[in-house]
Amino acid sequence: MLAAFTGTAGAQTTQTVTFAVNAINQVAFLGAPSLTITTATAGSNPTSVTDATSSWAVTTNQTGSKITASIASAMPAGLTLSANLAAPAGATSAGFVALGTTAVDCVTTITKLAQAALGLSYRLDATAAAGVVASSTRVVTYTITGGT
Amino acid sequence: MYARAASLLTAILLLAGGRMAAGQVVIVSNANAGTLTITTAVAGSNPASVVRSTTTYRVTIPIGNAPARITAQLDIPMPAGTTMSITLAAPPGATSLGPIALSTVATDVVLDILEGTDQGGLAITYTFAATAAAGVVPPQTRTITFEIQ
Repeated sequence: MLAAFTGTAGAQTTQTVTFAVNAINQVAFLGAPSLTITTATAGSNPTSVTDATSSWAVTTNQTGSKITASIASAMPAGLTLSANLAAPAGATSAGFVALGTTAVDCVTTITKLAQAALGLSYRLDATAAAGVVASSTRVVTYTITGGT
Repeated sequence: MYARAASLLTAILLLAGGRMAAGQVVIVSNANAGTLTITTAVAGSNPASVVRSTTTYRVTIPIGNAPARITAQLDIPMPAGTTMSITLAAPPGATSLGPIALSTVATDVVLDILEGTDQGGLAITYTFAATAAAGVVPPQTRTITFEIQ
């Protein structure tokens, strides 16, 4: 069967093509950090520990996107888990933010960029009152919210 | 004597005509190539390009023509940060240069189409790419002009 051809036969012809780009906001995180507090300076709370082995990446084609973070279950009393996301070009990092079950802003004003291998640090703080805490895991949920 | 001269002149004119573009045809299977929409990305990378190859073209180069080429050009530039590229499958003996980024300047997409070529069903493939900096692009249309030269 012959294909149905359209248009004017000749040394020149035309074709139309339609295109669009939808709003895109993607974020990814790499790493499985582990933090253990093991010591203290006498007279002070246990010494905080930091893990900087993780990284993150982002793509957005919107203006003013932001990243928030939360954990599904609260930290034990006297313990604080914080995250610090390095800001991609032109964006603003909130620095170390304490993670809780309510989402908190980590990076804001992320605008039209694609950037990978961004630094991500976690810090664990404990008071002496927290006592000995058995190993426990938290899943941190990061969410990118599109701008305009 | 006059008859012989006229015959010779006719032969010369036919020979000259054979080197021109007479009878050359390029035609597409559908005047509308459809829609290419970019919808996603891998985090850290630019949005993922989309490819569409749903139309074909036919090219005819009568015997006596010099090897021909097909050019393509847009009617309007693409938005900043976006690229529309095209690949035309080559008929036997010819060379496809695709993918070629389209612009408002006519650009070769197929070279060395031999005389005697009459081939249909040749794939037209569009690739649409965008950087993150391009932002959100609402639907819009471009017209591509193909020409045998």
